[in-house]
Amino acid sequence: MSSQPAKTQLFLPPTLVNVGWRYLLRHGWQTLLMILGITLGVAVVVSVDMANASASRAFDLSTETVAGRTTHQIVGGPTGLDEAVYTDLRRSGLLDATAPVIATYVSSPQLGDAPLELLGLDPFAEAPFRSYLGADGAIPIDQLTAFYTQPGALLLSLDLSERYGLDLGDEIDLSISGQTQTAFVAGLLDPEDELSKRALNGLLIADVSTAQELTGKLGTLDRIDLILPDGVEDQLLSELDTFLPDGALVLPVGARTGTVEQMTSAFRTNLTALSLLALVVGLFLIYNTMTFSVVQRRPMFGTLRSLGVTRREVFLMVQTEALAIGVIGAGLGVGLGIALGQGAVRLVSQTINDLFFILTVEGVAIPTDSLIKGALLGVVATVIAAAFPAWEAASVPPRAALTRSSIEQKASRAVLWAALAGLMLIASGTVALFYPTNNLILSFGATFFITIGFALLTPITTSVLMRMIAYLTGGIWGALGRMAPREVVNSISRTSVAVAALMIAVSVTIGVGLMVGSFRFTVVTWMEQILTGDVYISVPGTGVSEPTKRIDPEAVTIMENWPGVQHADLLRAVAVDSPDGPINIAANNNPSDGEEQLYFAATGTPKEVWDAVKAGAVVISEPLANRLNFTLEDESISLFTDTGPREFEVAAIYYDYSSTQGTVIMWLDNYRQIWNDESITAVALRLEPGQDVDAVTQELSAALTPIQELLVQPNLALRTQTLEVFDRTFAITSALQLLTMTVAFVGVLSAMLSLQLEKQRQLGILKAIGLTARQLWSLILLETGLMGSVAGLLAWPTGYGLAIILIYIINRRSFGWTLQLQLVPEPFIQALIVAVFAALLAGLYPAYRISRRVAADAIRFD
Amino acid sequence: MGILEKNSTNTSDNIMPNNDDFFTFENLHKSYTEGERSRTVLQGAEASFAQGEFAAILGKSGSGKSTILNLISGIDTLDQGRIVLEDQELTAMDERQRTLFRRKHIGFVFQFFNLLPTLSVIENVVLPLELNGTSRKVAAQQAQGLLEAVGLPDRAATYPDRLSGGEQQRVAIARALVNDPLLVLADEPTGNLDVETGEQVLELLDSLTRQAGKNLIMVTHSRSNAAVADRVLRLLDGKLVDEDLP
Repeated sequence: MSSQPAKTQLFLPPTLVNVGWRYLLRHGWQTLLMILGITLGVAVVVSVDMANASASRAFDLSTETVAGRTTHQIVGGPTGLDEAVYTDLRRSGLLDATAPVIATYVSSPQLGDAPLELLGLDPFAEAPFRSYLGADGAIPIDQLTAFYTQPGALLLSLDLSERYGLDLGDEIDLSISGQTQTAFVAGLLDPEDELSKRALNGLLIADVSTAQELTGKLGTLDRIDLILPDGVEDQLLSELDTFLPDGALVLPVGARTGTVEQMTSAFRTNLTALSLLALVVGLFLIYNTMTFSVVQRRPMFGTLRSLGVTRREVFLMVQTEALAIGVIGAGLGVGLGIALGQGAVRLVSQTINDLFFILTVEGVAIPTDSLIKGALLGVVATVIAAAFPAWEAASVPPRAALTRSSIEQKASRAVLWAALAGLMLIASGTVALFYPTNNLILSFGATFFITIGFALLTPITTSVLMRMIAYLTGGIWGALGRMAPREVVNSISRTSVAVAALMIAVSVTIGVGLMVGSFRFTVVTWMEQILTGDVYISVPGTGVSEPTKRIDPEAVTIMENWPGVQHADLLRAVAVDSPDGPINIAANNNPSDGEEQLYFAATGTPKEVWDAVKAGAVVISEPLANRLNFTLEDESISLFTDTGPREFEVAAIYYDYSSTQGTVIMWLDNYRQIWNDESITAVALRLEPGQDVDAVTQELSAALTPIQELLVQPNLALRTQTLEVFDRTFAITSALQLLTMTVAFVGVLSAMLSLQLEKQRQLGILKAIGLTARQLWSLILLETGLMGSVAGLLAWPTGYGLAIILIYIINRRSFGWTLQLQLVPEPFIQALIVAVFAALLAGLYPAYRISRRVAADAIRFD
Repeated sequence: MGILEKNSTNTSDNIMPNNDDFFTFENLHKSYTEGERSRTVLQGAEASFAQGEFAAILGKSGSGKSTILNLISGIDTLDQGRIVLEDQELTAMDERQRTLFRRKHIGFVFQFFNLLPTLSVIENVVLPLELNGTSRKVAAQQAQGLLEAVGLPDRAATYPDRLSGGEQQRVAIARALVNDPLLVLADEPTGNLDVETGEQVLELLDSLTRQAGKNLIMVTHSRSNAAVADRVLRLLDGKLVDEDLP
C-alpha cells in the first residue's frame, strides 16, 4: 500500500459532474426557475446598458459627425456671429482651416416630423473638416451643382430618403421656429462606412447661404469651425483673442459636448442601479433554490463524503451546477435583453429628449461590451450567490445523519446573527449616505447595503410575527391555522429567503412609488406657484425643456395689444456659454416673478431679491447651484457676454424642476442690453378679470397663425402637457419595477414549490389521516399567504426608508432637485396586496400538484 | 481487470489472519453533547486485527457500534485514543488527509445502501475509482468485473430506484470493493433487507472480501449475522470484549 494519501484532481471526475447535472435535470422545474431568474435579471441589465450605450453612442455620433475634425469653434452670443468675422478671418490668413456653420433643429412632415439637424456648410471650406461633401464620387456632379446654385437645395442620406420615399427633386416642408419653409432634395449622400451612414440619418445639409435663408439668420453664423494645428495652438489662440471682436469666443470642441454628455450621466446611473436591482432579486432566487437543493441532497453529500469526496470537490460540484445555470441563464438573458433593449432605447431616448437635449437615436446599437458585461455579471453573480449553499454542502459531515430539525435548529441560531449583520449593514449604509459627496456609486452602494440589511432582518421578524399570528389563525382555522405559521417558522432557512426576496421587490415599488408620487406632487405645487399667467405662447418645440425658438416680433406686438390682456410677460430663453459650459438663461419682464418663485436660499425677501435682479443681479436654479457647487457665499457667477466674460451677482437660489441643467433668471431689459438681443421665445399673458381664457386662446391662435405657427395654450393645458412629459419620463422606471417584481415572483414560486414538494411526505400523511383536498389547498395557501403578508408588511419600513433616500439623497445628488415627501397610504396598501397576491399565486401550483398526488405516493416519495 | 482477479493470485490461501497488528485501535474515547448533557459512547475501547480478518461487532441500539465505524473511517473524530491501519495513524491526520485516506483505502457498505440516485449502477461503482484518478475506461472495466462478481452484470445501465433492496446492497458491495481497499466497513448491511436476501447479501460480502483478502469490520445487532465472522466483539459499556458464539 502507498503510505501517501491520494491526491485530489484539478478537475472533477466526470461521474461526479454527472451527479450534479442529473440532479438539475431531474428537478427540471427548479432548474428552469433558477435559469428564468438569472435570464430576467441579465436581460434587464443588458437592455438598460444597451439603451444607455445607444443614447451615448448616438450623441457621440452626432457630435462627431457635425464636428468632424474640428478642434475649436468660434461662437458668438445668442444672436450668433456676424458673418463678417468669418470673411475677415479668411482674409487675415491667420488660419488655414476655417469653416462657417449654421446649425439648427428642424422637422418636416415628409420626414416623419422627427427632429433633424439642419447643417449649413460652405462646400469650399469643408474639405479639411467633414468628408461627406468632399469625398470623390460621393455625389454626382449634377446634384452638386444643384446644391450650390439653387435656393432651398438640401442633401440628405440615401437611407433617410428611402425610408420616407423621397426622390431627387422632391419638395420638403421644413418647420423652422414655427415658420414653414420649402426646400427640396438636391442630392443623396451614401457614405460607405456604417457609422457615417447612421450619423447622417439625423442630418440635413444645406449650403451655408441656403441655410441662412431658410432659418432667417441672414448675415450671421452660428459658429466658425477651426482646426488649430498641434504645437502652435496656444500661439494661435492668443492671436485669435486679439483678432476677434468682443463677444466672439474660441472654445475647444470637447468643452461644449462634454458638459452636455455629463448632464445625462446621472440619469443613466440611476437606470443602471435600478436594473442591477432586478439582478440582486434574481440572486436571492438563486441563493434560495441552491440552498434548497443542497438541503434536499444532504444525505447524498454525506454519502459522497463517506466515499472520500473532499470538501473542495463537493464545493466545486455545487459551484459547477451554479456555473451551468449561470451560463445558460446569462446566455438567454443576453438574447432577451437585446429584444427588450429595443423598447428601452425608445424610452431612454424619449426621456433624454424630454429632459436634456434633442437626440436622434438611429437604430439600436448592440454593443458587444454590454452583452459581455451582462453575461459575465449574470454568471459571476450566480456563482457568488451559490457560494454559500456550496459551502454549506461542503460542510455536510460524511454521515448523512443530520436531520431536518437539526438543520433548522442551526438556522434558527443563524437568525440572530443575520439580524445583527443586518443592523450593522443598515448602520454602515446610513453612515455612508451621510458622507457629503455627490458620488452616485457610493450613494447607491450605501442604499444597497441598507436594503440588504433590511433583508437580513427578515428571518427574525418572520419568526416573531408568525409566532404571534399563530394565535389568531389558530383561533380562526383551528389546528390547520396553527400549523401554517409553524410550518413557516420550522422551515425558516428557506421561507425567510423567499420572504426577503419578495420584500425587497415590493419595498422598491413602495420606495419608487413614493418618490415618483412626491416628485409629481412637488412639480404640481411648484407649477401652481409659478404658472400664474392665463395663456402661454411659444414656438412648437422639439422636446427641449425651455422654449428657445424665437417668436416673430410682429406676433409679440399682437399679443401685447390683444384686447383683454392686462400684461404680457415676455421671456427670452437661450443658452449662453460660460466657463462651466453652456448655461440656460431665462430673461423675463414679469414684474412679480420675484414673488412667484420659491427660494432655496436668498439674500433677502422675495421683493428685495427681485429688485436686485432688476438692478443687474441674477437668480439661479437649485440644479445649477448643485451642478456648480454654488452657494450664496460664492456671490457671483461668470457668463460670456457680447463684451467678454462678466460676473453676475447671485441674489437667490430658487427651486426649479423644469430642467436638470439649471437656469439663470435675469431681468429682460438687462439681458437685451448686455447681449444686444431683442428676441422673445415665450409669452405669458395675464388677462383682465372676467376674460374667457379659452376664447382668448382660440381667437389669438387664429390671429397669429398667418404670421407664425405658434403653440397657444391655456394655463391648464400647459400643466397637463408638463405632467404628460413627467409621466413619460418615468415610463422606463415603471417598466424596470415590473420586471423586478416578475423576478421576485419567480423567486417566491420557486421557494413555494421547493418547500411544498419537500413536505410531500408530511402532506401525504395528512391526506392519509383524512385531510380533504380543500383543506390541503387551504393549508398551503394559508402558509404562502402568510409569507406574502409578512413580506408586504416588512416592505413598509424598507420602502419608506428607500423613499427617503431616493427623495432626499439620490435625487438631489443626481439631478439637484429637492423634493417634498408626500406620504400617502396608496403605495403601502398596493405593496401589501401585490405581495400577498404574488405569494398566493405562487402557492397555487404546488397546492394543485400535491392535492392531485395519491397519498401513498407522497408518503413513498421520501 | 477486476480487483478480485487482481488479488486472487496472492490471496487464494488468505482465509486466515497472518498479521495480528495489521489494524489496531487503542483506548478509544468518544462522547457527544446533547443539549447541555454529555453522553459517553466509548470509554477505552481497544482491539487489534490481523490482515484479512473478518470481525463482527455486536451491540444494542445506541451502544456506539456505528460510532466505532465512523471513527475508524475518519468520518468522526476521537476525544482520545489511537487508530492505526497498516502503520498509518489515522488519528494523526487532518480532515483532508483522512478524506483522501478513506477515498483510497476504505470501502463502505451502509444499512440504507446510500447509492447515488442520479447515477446509474455502473457509475455508482465507477465513482470511487474516478475520484482516485483512474481513467474512465479502465474504471468502467473494473466496475463491470465487480458487477459480474455480485451477480448484476446486466444491470449496469439501470438506475438505483429500479433495483430491489438486495440488488442495491450488492451494488453497494461492488462499490465498496472496487477501489481495492485495505478495509471494508459494513454498518448493519442486512438491516434493511428480508431474512433470505440478507443472508445472500452477507454471504456475498463475506466471500468477496475474503476472496480479495480484505479486512471486514461489520457492526450488527444480529447474532446470526455475527456468526459468519472470524471473530466477534461485543460493545459493552463503551468497551469491546471478545465474545464466543455457540
